[in-house]
Amino acid sequence: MKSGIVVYLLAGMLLLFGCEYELGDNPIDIEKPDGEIEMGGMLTSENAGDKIIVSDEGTLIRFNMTASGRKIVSCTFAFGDKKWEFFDANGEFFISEDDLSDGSYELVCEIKALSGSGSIADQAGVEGYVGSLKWPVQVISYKEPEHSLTYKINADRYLELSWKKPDMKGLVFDNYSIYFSDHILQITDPDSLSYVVHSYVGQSASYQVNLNFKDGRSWVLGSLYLEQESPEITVDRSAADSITFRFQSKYKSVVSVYCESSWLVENSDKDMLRIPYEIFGTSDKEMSFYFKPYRPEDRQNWISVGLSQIIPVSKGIRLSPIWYASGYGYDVKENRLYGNYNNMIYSWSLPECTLHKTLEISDWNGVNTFTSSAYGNQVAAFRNDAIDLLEGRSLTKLITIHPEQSMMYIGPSAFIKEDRLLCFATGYSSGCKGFVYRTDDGSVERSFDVPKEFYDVYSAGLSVDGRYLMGQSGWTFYSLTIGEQGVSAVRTLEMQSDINGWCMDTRNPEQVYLSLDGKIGLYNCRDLSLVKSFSYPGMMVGNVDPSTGYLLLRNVDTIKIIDPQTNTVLHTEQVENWETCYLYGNVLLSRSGCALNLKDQLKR
Amino acid sequence: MKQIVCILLFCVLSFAGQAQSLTVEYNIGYGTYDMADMKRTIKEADIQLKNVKVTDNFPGYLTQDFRIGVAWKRHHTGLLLTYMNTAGKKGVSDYSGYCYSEIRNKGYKLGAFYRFSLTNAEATPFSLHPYLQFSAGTVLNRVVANDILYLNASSVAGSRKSTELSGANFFIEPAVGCKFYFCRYAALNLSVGYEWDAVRKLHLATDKDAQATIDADWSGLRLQAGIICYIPLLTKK
Repeated sequence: MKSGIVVYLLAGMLLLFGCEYELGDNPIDIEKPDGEIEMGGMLTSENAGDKIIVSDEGTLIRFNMTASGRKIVSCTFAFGDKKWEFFDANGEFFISEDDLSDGSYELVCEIKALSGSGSIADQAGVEGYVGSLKWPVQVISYKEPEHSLTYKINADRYLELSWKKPDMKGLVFDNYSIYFSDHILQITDPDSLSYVVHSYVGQSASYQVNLNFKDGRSWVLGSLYLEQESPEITVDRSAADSITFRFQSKYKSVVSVYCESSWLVENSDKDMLRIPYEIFGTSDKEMSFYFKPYRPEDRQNWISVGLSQIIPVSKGIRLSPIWYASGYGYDVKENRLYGNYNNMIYSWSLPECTLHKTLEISDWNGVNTFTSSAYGNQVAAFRNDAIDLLEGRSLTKLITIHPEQSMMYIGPSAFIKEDRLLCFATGYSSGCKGFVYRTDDGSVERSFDVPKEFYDVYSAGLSVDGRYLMGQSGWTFYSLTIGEQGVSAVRTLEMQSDINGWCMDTRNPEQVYLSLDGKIGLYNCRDLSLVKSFSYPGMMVGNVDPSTGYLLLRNVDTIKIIDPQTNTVLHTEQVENWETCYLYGNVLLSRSGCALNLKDQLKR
Repeated sequence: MKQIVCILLFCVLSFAGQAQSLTVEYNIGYGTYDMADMKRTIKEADIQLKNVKVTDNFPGYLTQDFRIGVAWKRHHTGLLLTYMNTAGKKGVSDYSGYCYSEIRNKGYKLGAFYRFSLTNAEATPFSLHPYLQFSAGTVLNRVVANDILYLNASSVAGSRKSTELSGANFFIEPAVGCKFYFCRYAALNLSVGYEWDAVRKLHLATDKDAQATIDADWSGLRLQAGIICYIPLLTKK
């Protein structure tokens, strides 16, 4: 009985232990939505029309979807294998041209919108509507074509640009644009595939041709950069009386030539220009050649190719490359001329005046004068502080003589004793002195003093045999006889007026020419007695051509070449004012480097 | 906690030698629960839906109490086993589904009690015996928290997150009551008292070292009514 009660109690407790507090609920009464709603959307893109065009790099598409006022929770666009998912009603995405090849496609958008009922599922975003919209899409590869711009010089010698017409893939042609450096030209004919550039004359220029479409798209068909192609200008001096310029340009053009503030010719379509030589010794002139477009209407923008050249306009030729000669040397045996410019010694073959040899000297102290040996090929180049003995044929240096002190050489020198000795006179502050140097080792053989009255001479020189040292001071002319022991005799010649020139007869060391008041006198060096005289008013003696013995007379603007033997004028030439001229080997030379071969004129 | 239980058992058994009768007792009652942390937690449960409200906030609820003991003279002592449970819930439901956060607390009290009769009268039928009672012991907690979202129309949407906590409290409970004897072997018991959980601890059920920041406070009023059965141990001569 008792155990039964306990069992019942325990069973009751177990039942009660299972009795748990029952939780309440919070039900909300919300109307469940049903049915479908209308969905819509708008796409905008650069090429949105009836269909979306995907081209170039791709197309950016912007969308704005609607779902009858319901909140759109996602828009999923599918295009081929590509998908874009957005959790908003609007946004943008980019369809790349690489996504699909050319063709027609469909862009599908699946829209999910909330029901808006306010239910838990609505709030959790899983209750709503699903709709689908579609748009046609056309993929077109509008890649720019390969550059096809080429150029040629056409039969009329004009630059002609040409290009190919690319596949326009349905785009509407607007124009071809040709970009010049300063303007743009538009061609509206789609089949016009070339353009003749009349304004091009060889200048550096760039051109670009674009194909423009109505939608604003622009393709570059090519660009072109042309380096300047200067026309060739050749100078022909073969004519006796004039210089002929010949112009050769690839492109049709006219030429204008400008020289010293005036136009020699303007807009000439000739391919040559002839100008007369100017008088002998005239300095070179800078000439500017402007090649302009052939047609006047193309010359508006100062398009031209300009070239400037220094042109020798003097009669004769230029002893290239010198521009000024402090003095010339002449080797009558080789008929070779020596000259110096900067730190170079040049030798030319006469009478053609072709450059024979060059020699670089050690410093910039120019050569004051040259002396050629009457016996061999030695040439002495006198500089301020040294004397270079050269081998004339090869123009190589044999030895350099360094005098004990810097000297001023006062005139022609002489190789004597079969070139073993070099004899020269110097003038300096303490007086005038003669020196004889050995040519083999450059040592002093001897030196000698000269009388004090000789100190005042400002022009002096030795005869080619070294026996006479002559000089002039004002109205007085001196002749010193040089012996082994020095000056052995002094002769003076007092004139009636200032001696305006003198020169020794290099073919006859016993004779010297003097000029004063238009009278030319030939004197004997030994006693300064007059041998013969000539009358050439206004003229003074220049030099005697060692090759012919012809005497060069000159004044300010004229030279005369006379034959002293017959006292006949062989040639008269107008020269540039105050230009010092020389005559060597029948070639008239100017200090400015001009040379005029008078071989034909001086023929007897 | 185990030490406290052992001490109580020792005390009870130490009186067993003098016992006049063995008692078996069942009480059903009603208890209120403080559950301050739990209430705050359920109130602050983060449910991002409209119309959400707290439907249950750890209200008082039935208690089940089972005791065995010994009684002699004016003394009555023994062991107790009490089951308490309550719950909190916050949520909403509609035709599309439901969503709620709930915390269900269960407490198993294990302890000892001592009653001292205020009268020295014999336990005769229909006699009333008021008494004072003191209980102490441990409350073994089991707390299960669920966060549930269920949507009818969706097979994939929805979520369920469940967290289980456990731990032990130490309680003391003074009470007053009275016994009404039907006969020498049974009495109706009525008592009113107050439980105070002096020590409260919770941790993850799966990790004792992961202490919870909340606790289950079962402190509150205790009203009980039940039956005590007396099984005499000594025969009167």
